[in-house]
Amino acid sequence: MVRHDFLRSAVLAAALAVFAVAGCSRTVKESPQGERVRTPLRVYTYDSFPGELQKALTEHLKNTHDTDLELVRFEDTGGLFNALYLERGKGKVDAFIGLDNSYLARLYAQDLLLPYKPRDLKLAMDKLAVDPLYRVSPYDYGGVALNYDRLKLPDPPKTWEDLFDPRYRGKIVLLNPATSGPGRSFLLFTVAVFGEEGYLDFWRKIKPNLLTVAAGWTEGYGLFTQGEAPMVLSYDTSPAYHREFEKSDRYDNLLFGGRAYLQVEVAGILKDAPNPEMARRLLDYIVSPGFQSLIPLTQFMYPVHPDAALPESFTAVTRAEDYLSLDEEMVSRRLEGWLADWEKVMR
Amino acid sequence: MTRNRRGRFFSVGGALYFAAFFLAPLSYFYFRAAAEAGPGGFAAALEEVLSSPATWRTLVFSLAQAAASALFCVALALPGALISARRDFPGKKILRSAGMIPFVLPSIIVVIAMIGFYGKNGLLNRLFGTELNLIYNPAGIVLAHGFYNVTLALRIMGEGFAGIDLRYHEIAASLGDGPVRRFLRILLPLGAPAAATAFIIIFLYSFSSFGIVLVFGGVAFSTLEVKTYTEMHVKLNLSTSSVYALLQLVLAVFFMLLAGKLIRRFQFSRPRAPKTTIPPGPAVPPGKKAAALLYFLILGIFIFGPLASLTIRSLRPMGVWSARAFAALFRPEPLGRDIEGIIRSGIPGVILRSLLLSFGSGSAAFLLALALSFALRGRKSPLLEGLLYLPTGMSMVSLGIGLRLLYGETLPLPLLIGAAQVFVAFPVVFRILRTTVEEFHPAYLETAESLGAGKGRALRDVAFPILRRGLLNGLAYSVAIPFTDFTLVMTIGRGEYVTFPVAIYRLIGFRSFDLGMALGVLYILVCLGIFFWIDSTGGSDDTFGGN
Repeated sequence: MVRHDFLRSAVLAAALAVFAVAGCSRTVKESPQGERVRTPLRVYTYDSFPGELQKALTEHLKNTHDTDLELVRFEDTGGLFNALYLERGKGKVDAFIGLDNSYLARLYAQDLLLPYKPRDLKLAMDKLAVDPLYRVSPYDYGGVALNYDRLKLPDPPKTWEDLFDPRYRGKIVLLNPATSGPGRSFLLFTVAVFGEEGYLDFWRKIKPNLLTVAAGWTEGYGLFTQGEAPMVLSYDTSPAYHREFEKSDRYDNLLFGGRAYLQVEVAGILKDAPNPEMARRLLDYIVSPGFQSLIPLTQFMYPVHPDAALPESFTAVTRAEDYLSLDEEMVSRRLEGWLADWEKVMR
Repeated sequence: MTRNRRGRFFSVGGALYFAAFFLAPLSYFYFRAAAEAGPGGFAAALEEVLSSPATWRTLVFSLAQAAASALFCVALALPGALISARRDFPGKKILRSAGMIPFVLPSIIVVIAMIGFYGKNGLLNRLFGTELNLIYNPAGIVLAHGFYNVTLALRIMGEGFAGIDLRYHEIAASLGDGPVRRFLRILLPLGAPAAATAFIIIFLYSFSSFGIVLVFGGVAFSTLEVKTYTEMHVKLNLSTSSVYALLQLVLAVFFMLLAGKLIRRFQFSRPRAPKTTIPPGPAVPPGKKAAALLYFLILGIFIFGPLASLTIRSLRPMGVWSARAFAALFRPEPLGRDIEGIIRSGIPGVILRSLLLSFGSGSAAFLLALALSFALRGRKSPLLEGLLYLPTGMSMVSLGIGLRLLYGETLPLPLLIGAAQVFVAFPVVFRILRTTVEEFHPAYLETAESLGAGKGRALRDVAFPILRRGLLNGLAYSVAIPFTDFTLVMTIGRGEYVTFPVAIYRLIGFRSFDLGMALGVLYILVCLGIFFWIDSTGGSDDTFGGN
């Protein structure tokens, strides 16, 4: 009996050892074999960059330029920026895809980028030309806006002031501007709408109606779709997702006065890129109509190219008429103060 | 003499591993952060953080919620640990195996399960037709930490209480001591080290809690770990971030040393009766039995309620009963999304990879903890032990980045992830094995050998049966804990190495909540399989890990 147990445990231990060795040797087997003349183009992005877009980029580089793509993912945009910053000057990275306008001031201040204006760059709006020096190229955009659940909220608010109504007590989920990209944009939205004197007053008044201020979009939107609250901070494009994949018009956006706050995603070439020429070809492709038409159903953002086709799920959703934005250089100087005051109000 | 030499070999080997994969990368990370800020910059960041009232508010909250969480767990687990250490009851084995589940859930699943059960639209509120806000407040944090850790308290305390010699109790009773007096005079002093151990480990885990606090803490309540992350990932301020991480480290060391002192005042000084079976004991009065039943009912709901609500939701994608979320995991068409494109790996690959990685890092953590437990047997070295418990209070984000910076180009990534995951499991496993090894007398071996048994036979027939329970317990935890890791896989693996938590997080991030929950349920089933297997290998001795 005892001996039997011992044997079983010995087998268990042996299995563990085999597993451990197998686990370690995996990478060796997976490493690329055969010799390739060109070194792969090394591009950094964030973790949720869609697999479909990666496939399109890989195939384009392979077929048109006989070059492999090495896409390295970071847990979020913050991790991506930190990697670009910590590895600067080492000549390890060619390009990045996926920082938004909130990183622009810091990218410029660190002088990390090699300017390039992609061939055939055409933008749907003037506001999308975020950098006159072309250190970054915009490739998609959307508006930060509240969304609501029609089923649970038959009488949605019509104006900003309606949001303060006691009947919405505990019914709104917002995002923390200190930890979330869209949360930051929404804080700037309130500054843009109510001015530096008025934005804190907005937050003071909406505070009793908040269920919680979630740390990130994933958490906040999860609470919303799990039925915890009928209003959430998201994008003007969010309802298109549910129309496309759930065939449902249950969710809709709230665009008070037709306005949303602009969020633009950009790509750029690193100053110390080992292969700047191929990085330029990558950027050319990213802003081309072919790649741009893949954007809506993968990123659920609008493509920047005016000719890129929009699927029906997008055209059925109300679009913001006016995308507000504050000057990022100014924001980078003032944001810390705004955040500190905001935290005083919200805690 | 050989024992001393072997002991030194083990301690030197273990210390080298700690130095190479824990201390060096962390120091390197802090060094880099300080260098980026320049000599004056780091000092300025230090001054700014220490002089800010927000820091102290965060600190007080970190401590208060951690203490409340640990106290809640110990109090909730106390009756269960006492009963299970002394009595057999139906379902004990299942409770022991399945009860480990919450502790090994990735925090994203804990959050979803808690919301599904306690949320405004959750099972409880629906059952009673209410819309009460139960969890979006500090109480929610304590509740979630309780759900997370109560079974850990049950195991540690059950193990400790099982070692209490019941004869003391009988003698006291025969001398006329009542139940209160027996509790105060016998159970309290003899059970205190186990309770204190459970308290301090849960305190440290909750002190460095991240995912739970992010969701339920809102703006008003955060921990030092959340601050570390925010400064690094959002404000992109590495020097301020590392100041917060250092502050957390210093405090964790302080509490560890303090706890070590407290625990050691009791430990190693009490006589213990090695027990292998539980005596039938006198018949239990019906009132007591009803109270115990009620207690286990509440405990069961507390542990399994959130898990049940998660399972129910995964079986009701879009509000209709069906298994299509599960089917969609393996056959992507039904819900129209390209699952592999989102997860960037097939589900069988995710399962296999997770198992390989956690068995690899788990067995390494197990061997390291075992070696160090033998090396430290019978010795007291508070400084070294404090060091060994450090990983509990440490910022894993900093460790991951440090490792990547230091070894990212020389070592293969899965190996690096595994080497780092060792430290996630190590403190708990070391705690369990140290207690086990401490109670094993080398005299048993010597006796067996003097009676003519060979070394191998003595180990197999004498040492192993005595150590078996603790060893298997330690093994279960060492394999299960790395399974939950998200931070290290992401910071070191950079998304190339897709494990269970990464896949779940990706699905949820892409709004595939139903699929995320289905994968969460699958994850729970795999964990259950591991625990039942390990526990059934352990034989029929039924306690919460007593030996």
